[in-house]
Amino acid sequence: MRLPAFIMQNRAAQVGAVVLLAFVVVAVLGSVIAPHDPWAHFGPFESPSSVHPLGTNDVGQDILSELLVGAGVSLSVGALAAMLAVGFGVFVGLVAGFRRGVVDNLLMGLTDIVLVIPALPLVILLAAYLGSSIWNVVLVIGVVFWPSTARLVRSQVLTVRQSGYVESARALGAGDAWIMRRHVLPNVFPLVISKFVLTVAAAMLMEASLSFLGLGDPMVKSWGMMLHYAFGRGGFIQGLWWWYLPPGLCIGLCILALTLIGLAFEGESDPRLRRALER
Amino acid sequence: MRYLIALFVIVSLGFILPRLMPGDPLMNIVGEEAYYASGGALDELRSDLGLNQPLIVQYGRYLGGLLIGDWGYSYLYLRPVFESISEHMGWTLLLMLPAVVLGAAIAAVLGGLAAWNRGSRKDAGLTGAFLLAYSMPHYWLAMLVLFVFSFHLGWFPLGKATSGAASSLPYVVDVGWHMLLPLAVVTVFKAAYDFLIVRSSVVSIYGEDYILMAQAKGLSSMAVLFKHALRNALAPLLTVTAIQFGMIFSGTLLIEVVFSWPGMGTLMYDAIGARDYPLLQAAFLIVAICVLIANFVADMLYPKLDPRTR
Amino acid sequence: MNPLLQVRDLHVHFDTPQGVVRANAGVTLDVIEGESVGIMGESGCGKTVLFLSILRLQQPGRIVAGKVVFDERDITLLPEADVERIRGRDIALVPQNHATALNPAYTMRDQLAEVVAVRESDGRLATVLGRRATSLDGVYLDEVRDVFRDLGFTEERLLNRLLQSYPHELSGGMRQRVLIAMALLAKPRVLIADEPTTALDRATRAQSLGVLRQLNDRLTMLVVSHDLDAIRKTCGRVAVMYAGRIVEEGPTSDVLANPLHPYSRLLIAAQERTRGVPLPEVFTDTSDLIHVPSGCSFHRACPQMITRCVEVEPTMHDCDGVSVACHLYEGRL
Repeated sequence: MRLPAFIMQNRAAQVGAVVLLAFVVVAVLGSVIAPHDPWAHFGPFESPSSVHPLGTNDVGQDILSELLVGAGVSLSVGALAAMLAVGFGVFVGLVAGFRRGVVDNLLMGLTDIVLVIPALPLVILLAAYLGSSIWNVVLVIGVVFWPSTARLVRSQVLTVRQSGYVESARALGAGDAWIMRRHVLPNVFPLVISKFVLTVAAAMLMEASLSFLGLGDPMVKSWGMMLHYAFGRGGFIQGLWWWYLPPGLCIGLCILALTLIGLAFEGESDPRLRRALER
Repeated sequence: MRYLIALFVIVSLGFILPRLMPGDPLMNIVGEEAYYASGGALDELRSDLGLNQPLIVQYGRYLGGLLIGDWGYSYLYLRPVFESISEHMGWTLLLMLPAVVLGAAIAAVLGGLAAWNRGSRKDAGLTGAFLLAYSMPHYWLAMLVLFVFSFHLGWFPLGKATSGAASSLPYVVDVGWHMLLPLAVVTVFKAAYDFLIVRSSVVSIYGEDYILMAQAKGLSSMAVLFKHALRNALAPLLTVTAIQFGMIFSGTLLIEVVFSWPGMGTLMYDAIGARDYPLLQAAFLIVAICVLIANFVADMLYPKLDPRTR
Repeated sequence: MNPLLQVRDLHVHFDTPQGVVRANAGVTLDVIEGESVGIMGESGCGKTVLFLSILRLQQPGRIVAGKVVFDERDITLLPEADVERIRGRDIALVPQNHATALNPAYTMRDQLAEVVAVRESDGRLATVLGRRATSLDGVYLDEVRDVFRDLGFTEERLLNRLLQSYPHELSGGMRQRVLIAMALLAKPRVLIADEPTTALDRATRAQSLGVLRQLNDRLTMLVVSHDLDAIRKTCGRVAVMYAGRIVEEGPTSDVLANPLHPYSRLLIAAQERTRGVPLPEVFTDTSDLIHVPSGCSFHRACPQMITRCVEVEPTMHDCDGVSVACHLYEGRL
């Protein structure tokens, strides 16, 4: 499989992978390594100290513990929403690419329209109507991110279908399912992985934005919710940078790591090599 | 054309959603506050708004209302939604449009330079810096910027668009001063995204035969980059700008909240708090329309940049 | 008299994931003022890298050894600004692919004017964005007219239409003419023609060759091609390249009629096929450029290989006016 090779050759992606791994570990072990229970109340608005390395928030909860536990929430929401979006996108792309004709036109029309609709305002509207549960957030994000995967998968299917070896396979009687399994999926796989990674990043950012605006689930601690409270409950006005800087930084680092990994799949060689070596 | 269909779908969504979503459609249409405030007058309200009539009639009323400027009534601000939106939209556009142009220009120049010096330290530095700017949530960047330059250094005001009701020139200067920081953040936001696109565009253009030709004609490296390479990267940049317009818009809204800039962002922030659905719905509608217009304009401009499509 | 252009033992390497490609492995060539030299060989033989190196546009390749002397100056050592002054002014290129060598975003007028602007001052950004690069007035327009007339394009009205056109609006033959015109407009001392016939159909090919033959008298030319016919019609001398080296070199009539090097023989025979005679087989492998075989680089595919070929790399020897790098001819000194 070519996937590992790309990561191996790309230093940036390696750095990204390491950083991401670190965050995933924190996400999994969050509640174990947190010094306090993030829901427990202490004195409010405390500055960083040895007991509370990042101080406490407006209701006295330990910020560091919130941060550590929040890793799990933010990452899982991102991953789940991305799985939903990419899964649906792959499905639509495959169907459109294979069925062609009316079905293809309809699906692509739908894809184009969803692509043009601005994501955040729609997500805000849906989340406002559906309510602030974390599952709604996942659902709503999944609903807006499937089109680009669908487009990608469809164009890959079309390319593969028109290739010589598939035509011969068809001439020999191969059916759609076989072609999909043997030819389409292996070609589509690396692209889908790359899309998935980048979608996780986008989903994490979307969740953070939603929470920041006040549509997040108050029953969960995500980095986005931390930013929401930090901004809305006086953390920013009072200059409590230890409250609002860490969550944003963590989101940023995760997104950076994911982006580095996702972009690694688009390897870059010098385009002039071809000219010199093939003539 | 595609845009008309998309417009139709978006407008219809505005009609369908409140009726589709969980809860009493009446509440979804007038907002939670209004719903609970009207007490026993719910039925009156329902017939006022024509919710007892067949859907087709309701749809007609809805479309008609949109056209004449009746976009609903906001109980949060106690005025028609259309008024609120008109007031706030201007501020958002004031912030966003210059940022889009400036951001694209900065990204084009720096992206081109980075691609041209591929693999060098300049490239690594630029790419690294922009990747970082791209990854950080931009409203968080806004908080950081505001903290450093306003709280700490006191060079800029703490938010809003003006500090006093001056008029003409002093007013313009005042707004400009307030605008500088949020404009900078939105510009960085746009530039960060575009930089990666331009860089990758120029890298692939680098291998084109007409680039070699330009070099063989004796043009300097910078001349080849700016006159030949970047020229051909403009068309894709325009396309990307159009596609990402919605994203830039959304980002601007969030940044506005941090700066208390009186645009659509703060409007939506307050509307969310009060579950003022008419306002949220109208906001969605207007943003979507803007995005459609932007895409349309980009389509019109494209042939000017790429003669092959004329 | 010193040759106008001298390539001395040029070595150009490319770094690839599969290893270092020795695209030019010791090329030596002299070009006297006024003559036309053909560089002949198959894809991958290094002829493209050779002319690119003369223009110092071989990147990402690296010139690791040797020199390219033009007008008593070594191009490989000059600062970039000096090389820029040579490109497009002293040495001009007519590229192979007319479809992709013209920037699709600019009209023919713009692209021709650019040549004039560079010729009259320099190739810096300010110059190419300036007035002179965006319009062709007066005497320069006359020059363009003259050049096109020489190329067989005389109608004034059509010329105006041509100038306003974008590359995609023109036919292949027309674009080729424009590219040649651009090279001539630069008033170069050396003209490099890269595969002048490959991208054209039969009719246009004949026209193009005709033009080149005319230019023969006025310019020093380097014609890079794998097309025997093109070389025969345009060049007085020809050099045959294989695996990054010149293996045979001499007057065109001699080399083409009576090739000495076994590779030249096969190459020429393959193109001059007569009916009924089976195609000769040549087993060449371009991976030879990475894992360079010992001795003569052709020995593995050579039908006349002797033991010495495996051990010792042959050097060029004169053989009645034709130089050849082959052990078979070493005795005849």
